Amino acid sequence: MPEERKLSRYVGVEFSERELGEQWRAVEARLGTRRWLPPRALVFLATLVAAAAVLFGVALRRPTGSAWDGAVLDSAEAKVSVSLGDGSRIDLDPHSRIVVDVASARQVRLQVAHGTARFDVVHVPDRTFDVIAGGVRVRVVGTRFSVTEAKIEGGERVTVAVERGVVEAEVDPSETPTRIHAGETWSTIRPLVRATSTASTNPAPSAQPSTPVAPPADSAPSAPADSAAPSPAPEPPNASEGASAHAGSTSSARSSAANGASSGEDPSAPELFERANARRQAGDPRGAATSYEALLRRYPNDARAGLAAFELGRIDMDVLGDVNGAIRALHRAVSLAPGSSFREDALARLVQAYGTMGDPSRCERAQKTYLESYPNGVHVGAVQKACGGAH
Amino acid sequence: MAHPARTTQSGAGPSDAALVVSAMAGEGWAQEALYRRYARLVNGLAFRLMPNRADASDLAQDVFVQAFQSLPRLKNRDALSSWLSAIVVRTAHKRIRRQRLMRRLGLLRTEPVDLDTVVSRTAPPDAAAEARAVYAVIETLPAEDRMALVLRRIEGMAIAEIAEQLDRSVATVKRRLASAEARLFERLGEYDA
Repeated sequence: MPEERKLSRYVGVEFSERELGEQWRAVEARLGTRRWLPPRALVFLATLVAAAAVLFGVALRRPTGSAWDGAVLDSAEAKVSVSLGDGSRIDLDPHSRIVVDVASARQVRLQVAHGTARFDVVHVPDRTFDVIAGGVRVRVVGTRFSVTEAKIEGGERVTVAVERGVVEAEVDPSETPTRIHAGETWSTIRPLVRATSTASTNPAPSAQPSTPVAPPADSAPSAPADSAAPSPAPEPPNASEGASAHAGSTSSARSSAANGASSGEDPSAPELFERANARRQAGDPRGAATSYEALLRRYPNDARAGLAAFELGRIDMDVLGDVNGAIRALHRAVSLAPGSSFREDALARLVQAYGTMGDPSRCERAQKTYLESYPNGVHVGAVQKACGGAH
Repeated sequence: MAHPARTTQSGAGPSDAALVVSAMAGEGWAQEALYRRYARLVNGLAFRLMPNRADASDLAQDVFVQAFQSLPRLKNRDALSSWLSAIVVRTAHKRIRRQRLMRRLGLLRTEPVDLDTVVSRTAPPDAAAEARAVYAVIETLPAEDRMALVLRRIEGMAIAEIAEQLDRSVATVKRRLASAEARLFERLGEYDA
């Protein structure tokens, strides 16, 4: 049978997302009760994005979440559903993006960078769960709701729709948050601001009086722009409640043009990170590398720095053919994020890079480091062969 | 639901091997990630082998359950795709044999294949004619002939590969294929050609 006569491409039906979702639930039910993330699974968590399922699940089990800060969940063309370790669930509409600001056992803070995300959050005592969009903070207790961030002329509209329970939307930390109840939709329009308001007042939701809620999202905005939001202070990798996720930003740097491009001379770390990702997705690896480098240079203590270094190393190695640059970046990734999911990949790539350079002594040292850290790692086979000699 | 995320937006999603190891540890997120990655591949192949939406969906469900339960037996964790495909073929073969038996016993009615649904409208005329002919005859064929025909004509597999998937000798597959193709050529009107 000649290959060109293969007919499989002309045979078939499309299974809808709903059908596949039902199928997965049936499979899951037949497999028995879900079990979530024993700590050893950390070893196998790779870098980004679709791995956010990985990332969220693990992060919720970790005492600190700094290694995951800045990670991105991007739905691209299709919907993405992520189950968290505590039974909570996040559904992203197509072309939506969530950035993990903080994910730890005591605090989860996610940013809806754009698009719509629905959250079904299980209440966990002593843990705060915040969702931030366009400077609006939504504090969750245990509920189901969605947050939409949409760019509009001159700003961005943030819409919160609650299906079950109650959430609180905070536009200005100095003001009483707006309580949004089941069945209600609330929205606000704000000038395009990349960074979020900084103070986290951690109010007890039940203690706040009800505030009138603006019905439908398309109605007049219920809150004006908060142009006086305080500038965030630089954030160390282990961000605590109350610290901004946008290290080193300034007020001017946080402002962006209405089309989403940065207008400031000093873009914030999240802006640089997002810009780098966007450039890479657009097929501009050099532009992406420039943005990652800028992030590392300006915000070396930002939580995203380790990941930026790793991504830079990958681009240098895989796309730009700059092995020396890759080695520098990968070493930096390992030192900046020693507990990260991508450490294993970074160490394996270092072995590969030294092997490519023809530097056997460094290659063997890197090989030893990898094999001692990950004796059963997924790259063991490749690492053992990378230096040329038998291990 | 995400389209199987073989690579992420960053180009750096977890490898199959990484997900397999985590799934073997019983981690639900990894199982779900693997499912999402391969749901369309498995459902697509299942449908081509059993061209009925409900049958294909049941088959795919069985395949994933079997796969997750037998992950420890997966030798090459980076060859998950072909391993899953092999499970689809093996499971489909069993189900088709069972269906034929039930039909013989009068416990199951033969449903004609809806050729208009099965074969894409965008298929070139010659490809559409051949695909339609294959699906028009498969219900009349013994299970093994049917499997060999679909794997050969639709999936484009080599005979040795079909033999491996069906756990039969190459000679047996050739015989099965010859028998099935004879029926197919009748349908296509090519016997005299």
